[in-house]
Amino acid sequence: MGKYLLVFCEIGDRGAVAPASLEVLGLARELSGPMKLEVAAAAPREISGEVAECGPSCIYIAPSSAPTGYFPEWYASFLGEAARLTEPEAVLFAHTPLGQDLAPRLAQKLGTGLVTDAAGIRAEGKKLLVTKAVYGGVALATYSLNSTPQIITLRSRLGKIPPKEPGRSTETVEVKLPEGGGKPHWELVNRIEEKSAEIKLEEAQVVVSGGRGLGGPEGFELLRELAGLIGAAVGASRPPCDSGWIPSSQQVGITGKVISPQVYIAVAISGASQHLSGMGDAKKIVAINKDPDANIFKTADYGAVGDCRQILPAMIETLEKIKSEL
Amino acid sequence: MSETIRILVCIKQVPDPEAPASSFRIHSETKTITAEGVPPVINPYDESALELAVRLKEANPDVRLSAVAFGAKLARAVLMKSLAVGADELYLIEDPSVEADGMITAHILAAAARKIGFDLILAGRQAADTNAGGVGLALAGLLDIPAVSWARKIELEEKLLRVERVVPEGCEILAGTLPALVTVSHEAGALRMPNIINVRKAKTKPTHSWTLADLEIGKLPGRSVELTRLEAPKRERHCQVIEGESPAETGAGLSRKLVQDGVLNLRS
Ligand SMILES: Cc1cc2nc3c(=O)[nH]c(=O)nc-3n(C[C@H](O)[C@H](O)[C@H](O)COP(=O)(O)OP(=O)(O)OC[C@H]3O[C@@H](n4cnc5c(N)ncnc54)[C@H](O)[C@@H]3O)c2cc1C
Ligand SMILES: Nc1ncnc2c1ncn2[C@@H]1O[C@H](COP(=O)(O)O)[C@@H](O)[C@H]1O
Repeated sequence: MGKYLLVFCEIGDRGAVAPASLEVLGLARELSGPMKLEVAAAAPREISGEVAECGPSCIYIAPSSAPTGYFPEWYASFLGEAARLTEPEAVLFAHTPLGQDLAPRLAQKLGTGLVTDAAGIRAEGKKLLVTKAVYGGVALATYSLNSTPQIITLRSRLGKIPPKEPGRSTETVEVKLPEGGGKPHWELVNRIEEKSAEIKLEEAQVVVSGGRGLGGPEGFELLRELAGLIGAAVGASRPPCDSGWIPSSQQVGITGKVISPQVYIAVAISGASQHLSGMGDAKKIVAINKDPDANIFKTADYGAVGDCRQILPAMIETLEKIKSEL
Repeated sequence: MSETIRILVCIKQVPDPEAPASSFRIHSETKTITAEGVPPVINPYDESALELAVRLKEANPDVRLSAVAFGAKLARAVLMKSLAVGADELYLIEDPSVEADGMITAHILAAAARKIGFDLILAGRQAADTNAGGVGLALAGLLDIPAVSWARKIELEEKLLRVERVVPEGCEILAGTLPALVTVSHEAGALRMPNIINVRKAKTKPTHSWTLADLEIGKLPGRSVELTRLEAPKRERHCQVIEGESPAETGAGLSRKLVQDGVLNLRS
């Protein structure tokens, strides 16, 4: 019988623990009580100190620092060993690109089942019931996993980042990789940055997104002006990304970023389920569309019907005026 | 004379994901979904994978390109599109008796891949119906070959593979050797349209129909993922529509309303 919920903690883009992993740690903590389990973490060496401060009962650390580049085999081998040692009831990942790359590899290695992109999770005894969008967000499915460990990747914001207890130490186990385990296969030849200068979508409180109806890259200039005024990040539906009007890093939706900001302003976006399933949890949704029957209005709190090329400049002008009078 | 390079593309049949949401009916009692009038298509990511494979074949005449699909009931006409755009042969594995989850599917595809033979396997990054993204990487593990995910471009030089892989802020260019499996992301681009001549030609290309009995599959694992509930997402909100005499007035009204209601805070 397993004793642990094992959480994989990954390195974020600032060298510290990825916030998404911390959220999963927090969630595991909540689940562990009713499941009568303890939380174990598996982490690369360089972030183990920080992970320890976030309350797991024990940490399994890799034998060396994480290699830089693309080394999924190394990670999968490390996690396979950590899982062998902990015999967890479940292994939880954040649904990040790395989590999505590792979870299926680990599931196959351990001969067990997998549910990715969980939007909700609850425990029934030692079983986890996992809810996720299927058919591009047209339906919500709840799955249970019949084999252990149950392997799950979780969307962001399901758990709360646990408070740090500075200086807290915890039992640490060094994992040895099996002979030849994790030998890297892929050589990193080059990395090309296609960063957009805007505020990060995942961290923004307010997001202004544009769709195909913006008509071209010029349309996004207007959006950026609005975004600058209200401190928002700029996002997009898929067509503008596919057409190169804006980098793909800004795509919102089931295959882009899944976000839940305080405010989401959708401009000239029709509201396809694949898009809604990436932003439907926003606190307030504002829709601007020339088609009064556009699906997006069904999910919106505020709506304006009309041509965005006229609505946006008027919005900007009015906001500037209000701002100058503050 | 150079050796043939065998490329295998995994194509899954799914209900057209671009169909309007209203054409999907969710039956909570039976935990099933029906898609009234929605035609089956090849999963869009698998179409992107096919496109990359066809480009590899164009760049390298020694490529033999096979497509493989597994399903309870497959629509031949839909999957034959793979032949019309350039695949040399198509394998259809049909078996209505297995209710496959991702891991079972990966086992079946692994058995098929072993029987067909491969140097490079391409899969989609995820299926539009399951939205899972597990089968490709699990298949690589079962075949014990290295895998790279989320490719948007692939180049082949002899047995050397160069893959452009999508990462959140750009791309990574990776090099490795065959055999390997690559999962393909939509940034690879859409599949070309088959022309009428090639559609006709497709009918003369070999299509192999297999059942599980044709595969040396051993024992399939049990189902590890069980559907316990299926429902429609609750997304309906009450929308306050801002009216105005002109679009400009509407825009001004919307700004004022959002500030008034505290939705937008201009002080910070
Ligand atoms: C497997 C799969 C995954 C997908 N993943 C994603 C995803 O992650 N994210 C995503 O966004 N999409 C995704 N899609 C695509 C999705 O199905 C839709 O095609 C897409 O979201 C539509 O984008 P859109 O609303 O910008 O364009 P459209 O549907 O073309 O809508 C454009 C809208 O703009 C309005 N409009 C036009 N001109 C103006 C104007 N001048 N002023 C105001 N309004 C105007 C129109 O009324 C219309 O409502 C995916 C599709 C598939 C098959
Ligand atoms: N039944 C199937 N037949 C052929 N290929 C499949 C099948 N199921 C999944 N795949 C492949 O695996 C990828 C990922 O599927 P999934 O893990 O279900 O998201 C798909 O894009 C296909 O390339």
